[in-house]
Amino acid sequence: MNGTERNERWQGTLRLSLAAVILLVVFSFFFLTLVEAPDAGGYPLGLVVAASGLPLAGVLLVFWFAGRQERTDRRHGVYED
Amino acid sequence: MGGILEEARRLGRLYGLLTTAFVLFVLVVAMLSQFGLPEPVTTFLVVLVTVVTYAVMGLGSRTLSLSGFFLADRFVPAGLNGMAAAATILVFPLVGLAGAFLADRLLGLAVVAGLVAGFVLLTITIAPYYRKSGAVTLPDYLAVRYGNPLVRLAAVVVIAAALFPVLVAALRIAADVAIATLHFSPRVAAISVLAVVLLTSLLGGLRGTTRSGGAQLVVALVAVLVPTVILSLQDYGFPLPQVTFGYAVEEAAAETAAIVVTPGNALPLAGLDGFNMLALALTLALGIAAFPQVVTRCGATVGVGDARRTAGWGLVSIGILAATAPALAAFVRLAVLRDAVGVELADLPEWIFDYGRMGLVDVCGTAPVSPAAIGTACGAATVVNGLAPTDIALSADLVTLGFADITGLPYILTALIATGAIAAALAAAAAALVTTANVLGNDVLARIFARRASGGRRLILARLALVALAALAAVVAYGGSDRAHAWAMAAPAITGAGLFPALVLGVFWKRTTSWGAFAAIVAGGGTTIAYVLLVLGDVIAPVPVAGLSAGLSPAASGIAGALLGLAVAVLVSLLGPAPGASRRAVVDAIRRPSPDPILEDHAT
Repeated sequence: MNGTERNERWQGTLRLSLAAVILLVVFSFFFLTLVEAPDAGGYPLGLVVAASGLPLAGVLLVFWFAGRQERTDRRHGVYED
Repeated sequence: MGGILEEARRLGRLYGLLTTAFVLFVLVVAMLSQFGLPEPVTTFLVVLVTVVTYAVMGLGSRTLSLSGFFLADRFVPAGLNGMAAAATILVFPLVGLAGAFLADRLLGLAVVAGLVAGFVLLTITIAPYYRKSGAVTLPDYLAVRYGNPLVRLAAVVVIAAALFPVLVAALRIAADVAIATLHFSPRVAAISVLAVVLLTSLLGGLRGTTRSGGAQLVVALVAVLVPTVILSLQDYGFPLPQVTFGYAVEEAAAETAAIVVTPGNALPLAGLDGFNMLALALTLALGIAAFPQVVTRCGATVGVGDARRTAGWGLVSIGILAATAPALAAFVRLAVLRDAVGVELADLPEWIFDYGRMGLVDVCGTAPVSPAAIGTACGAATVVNGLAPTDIALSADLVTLGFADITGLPYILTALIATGAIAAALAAAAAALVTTANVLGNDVLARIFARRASGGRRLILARLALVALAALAAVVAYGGSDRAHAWAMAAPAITGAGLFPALVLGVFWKRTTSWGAFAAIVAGGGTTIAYVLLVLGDVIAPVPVAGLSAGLSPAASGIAGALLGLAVAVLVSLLGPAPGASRRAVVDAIRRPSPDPILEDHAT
């Protein structure tokens, strides 16, 4: 593996990390605003969706990030096994 | 994805078996108690069986190798590691989150957002690089990256200032729950808590807390899920409290007045409004991502990929709790409105007086000891009309711990919830103990007394540090001071401000110098530790921020400290010479997941 290839891999990692942080900020604020929405007909749909949805989105983001990162690593031949 | 599924199945089998065994055991004990088995015996059986399980797991993972003690032999798969990582901090949301949701749903969700963001940031910015570095402890990692012993030393101070109060608070919570709901005597509670924590940590180190942590997590989640599922089935005919609690909110919607929630001992809920809520979420995010007992776990995985996935599995457990906490709050609110508001004082439920005597319930500003006392405190109108919602103040922690009593479920479920809270508190205490002792053993004692010593000698030093630390923490925890709880709640502020900037810049900005990192830890960590201690010690008042009733809460102050740390790191780094070629090579190696080891020599 030469220097440029290594650099490309790191650029990819940086882009992926930035994308993940942006996604994290966007969905966090989305769910936080959802909870303040008025309860339609008394049932607090916003709260129910936010309380389960926020952690679920976090789980999916972590596994998506790990999967994408591994693909980048494999492409550049630095995968661990 | 195949690896994830296969692992999920393997762990699912192992811990599924454990969960089934535990649920069956609880059911058998519940049936026995219906047939007249006395309450203390029921409680004793449930607590004894779980505690013996942890102790056996701790003893079974005893190790004589440094790698086993410090790193669980780097053989922990992501799933179990994630469960153990969640277990290290679960006690605080487990005990406090439902109370936060009852006080203010936005506050509850802000705490959840902080926890979720913390685990996600851990994966993106810290976990894989920490695992790759081959470091034994978090100060060790910073020393590998920066090659400056002062950075190591500064990190040791920050970690001790953050984790010691967590250890003390967790020991206290475990004993207090055993005393309040299981009716242990204070001395028996203190001794048994300390004994179990030592059994799970002293012989096996991180290896021991991995296995027992997984079991404790299962017990804690079962303890929260079983009572809420039963209530959901009983009242709404559907076993998903995470959805049916909406109907409880709907039923209680006619009453708009809020039940008062007083701050408990688990989450920082005092004076949190407006900006403080956002600051708390951000502080938790940075603080959890850099929380040493969580980060250190990421060094125990089989490889870098598993280190990334650890937080994902950890979030599954946190998520189950986060989705259930608003249900606990909604069911409790409905039960209080139904059973305690507007009823004759003589008909008030027993739990008001029981928990009132322990100081966990307040009625009209006094402890409710008897219906007559309530009548005197609240005035004549109350005797005629009954209590109003605003007359009743529940401790935040009681929303979870007293859930079964308040909603009218059988006592065995109160005992079950208490067992879960104790499990989570034991896990947090053992994790804080092992992490801090490993830091003291590896980064302080071994550097002074045993620079060239064999693994055996260093292991002895680590164990000595562990025993000394446990003894000191027990003296503080059971010596009568209540300060540790508030300090422990500010622990994420201290780690977020003190460690996060140096950890993240170290990977993502090659230009960061060792002096920049040192200055960041001292500036960010130092100011935050000082702010926390001065405010808690009543020496200074919280910094006023526009729109806040009580000023910047110490527990939410980490975001300010972290920004200061980042600015200082950048400034000091740019003022000095750029790091040399060998140092830049270390950063390259940390960034690369392939198994080329980073030489020990880089760490000084």
